[in-house]
Amino acid sequence: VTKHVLDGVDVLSPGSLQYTEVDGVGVCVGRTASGDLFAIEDECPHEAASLSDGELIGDEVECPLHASRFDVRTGEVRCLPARVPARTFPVELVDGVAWVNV
Amino acid sequence: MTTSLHDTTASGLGSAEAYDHLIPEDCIQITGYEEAVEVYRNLSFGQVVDGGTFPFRGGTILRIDGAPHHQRRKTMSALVKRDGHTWFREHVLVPTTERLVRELRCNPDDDGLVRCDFAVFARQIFIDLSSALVGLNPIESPEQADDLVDLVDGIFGVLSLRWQLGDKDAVVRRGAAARDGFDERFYRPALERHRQMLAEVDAGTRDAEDVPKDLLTLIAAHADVGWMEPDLGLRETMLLLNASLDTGAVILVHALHEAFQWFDSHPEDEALKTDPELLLGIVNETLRLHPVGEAFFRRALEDVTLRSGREVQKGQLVALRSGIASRDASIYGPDADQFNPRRAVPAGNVYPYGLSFGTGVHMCLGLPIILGMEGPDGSHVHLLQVLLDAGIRPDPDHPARPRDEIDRDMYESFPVILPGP
Repeated sequence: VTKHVLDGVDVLSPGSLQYTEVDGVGVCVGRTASGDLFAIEDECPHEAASLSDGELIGDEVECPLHASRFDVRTGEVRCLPARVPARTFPVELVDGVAWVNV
Repeated sequence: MTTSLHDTTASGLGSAEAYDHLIPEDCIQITGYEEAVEVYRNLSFGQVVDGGTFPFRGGTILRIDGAPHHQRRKTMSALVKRDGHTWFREHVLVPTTERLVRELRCNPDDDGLVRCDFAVFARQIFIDLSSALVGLNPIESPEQADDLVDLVDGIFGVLSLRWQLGDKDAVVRRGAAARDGFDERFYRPALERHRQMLAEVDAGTRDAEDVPKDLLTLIAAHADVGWMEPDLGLRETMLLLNASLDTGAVILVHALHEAFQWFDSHPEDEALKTDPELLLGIVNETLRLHPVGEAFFRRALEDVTLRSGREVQKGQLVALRSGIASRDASIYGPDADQFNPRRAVPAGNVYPYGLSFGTGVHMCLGLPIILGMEGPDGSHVHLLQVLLDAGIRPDPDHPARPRDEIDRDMYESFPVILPGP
C-alpha cells in the first residue's frame, strides 16, 4: 500500500464522482453531500462497468449498468445483484492536499 | 410427494439435458457454471439474432453490444432501479394481485371453494405490471385485456421460436399478425399519449413529474438515439412486455408449485408459509431449477481461449446452458438437482438463483422487480405471501398440465382452489 496524491479533487462538488487512475488502479473518487471525500474501486465487482459513471445516492454509489449499490466507506453491497463488496481506499487530507492509500 | 427434479419440471422432461436436441449441432455447449459465467462476462462474445426474429427483436437491448448497449442499458435501467421496482411492486403488482384474489373469492362453487387456473391467473397478474412498465394505455375492459394477452402470446411464439414444436411457419404467421395488431391497437395509441404528455411539459402546461416513468416515455423522448428509428421502439416495447409477462408469470407458477410441494413434504414448516426468508429460498431455488431460458446463445467476435484452455474460433456459435450450469454440483453441492430453499451457496459471485437471469452486461433487466434490492423485498416473495395467506392450494381433482406446443418448462394449466369469502 502506497500513498498517492489525488489531483483535481478540490473542484469535485458534493454529490459528484470522478474517475482517476492511481498506480495503475482505476479509482472512483467522490464527495458526499456532507463534503467528505472517498475512494472506491472503479470497476463494479459484479460486472465490467465504471462506478464513476454511476450515481452517488447518500453514502452509496450505484452502478450504472445493473444498479448494484455499494457503501462508499466500507464497500459493502447494499443492493443486488452484486454479491462481492467493492474495495475502498482510505483518503486523508493533509494541509489541503488529498492523499489516497492504494 | 418427492421433490425430485423430475417432479419439479413442468414439461416432464426430467432434466436439463433433455433439451439437447434443440441445440444446433455446430454449437459449442458450455455446461459448467464457472465457464458459463466466464463467457457471459467476456465481451469477445456478442449477441445473436435467430433467423426470422429480426422484425420482433432485432436491434433491441437484448441484441446489441458495446457502447450502444451500455448507453441503452443505462437508460432502461432507470425504469426499475432504486425506487422504480418498489413503485411498480407497491402500486401495480401487489394491489392487482389482492384485487384479483378478492374478485375470485366472491364467486365460490357450491362447496364453498373457488377454483381457477393459476397459469392464466398469473398472466392476469403480470399483464397489469407489464403494461405499466412499458406504458400502455389503461386496459378498459376484460375483452381488451384478453385481446392484449392473445397478441402477446402470438408475439411470444416468435420470440421463443427456437423452442417451438410443430409448424414454425404457422407460429411466425400468427406472430406477424399479432405484431400488427399490437402496433395498431396498443403501441401507437400509447406512444401518441406519451408524445402528447411530453409536448405539454414542453409547453409548460404539465409538470414533468406527472409524466410516468415507463418505457414509452423514454421512447417518445428519444432517450436513446436508436429509438429515432420508429420500428425499433415497437420492437423494444414488444420485447420488454413479453420478457416481463413471460418471466414474471412463468416463474410465479413454478414458485407456487414448488411452495406447495415443499410445505406438503415439510409440514414442520407450515408456520413459516409467509416467512420472507423461507419464501426467498423458494423463489431462488425455483429460479435456479426452472431457468427462463434453458440456453442462451453467443457468437465469438474474435478467437478466444477460455481459462479451461477451450478454444473458440471467431464466428463460432456458443450455447450457454443455463439450466445445466445452474445445477453444477461443484458450485451448488452434490444435491444440486434437488430443491432446497435452505441451500447455502458459496461466498463470492455465485448467485443463489443460478444463471436464470444470465449474467454479464446483458443480465436480465427485470431482476430488481423479481428480487428487489435484497431479495425478500422482491415481487415474488410478496406475491407468494399474498397467495399462500389466502389459502391457495392445488386442485386435487385436476392435475397441472405442461404446455405442449413448446419445448420449455412451463405450464399450460395449473388448477388451484381457494377458500371462498
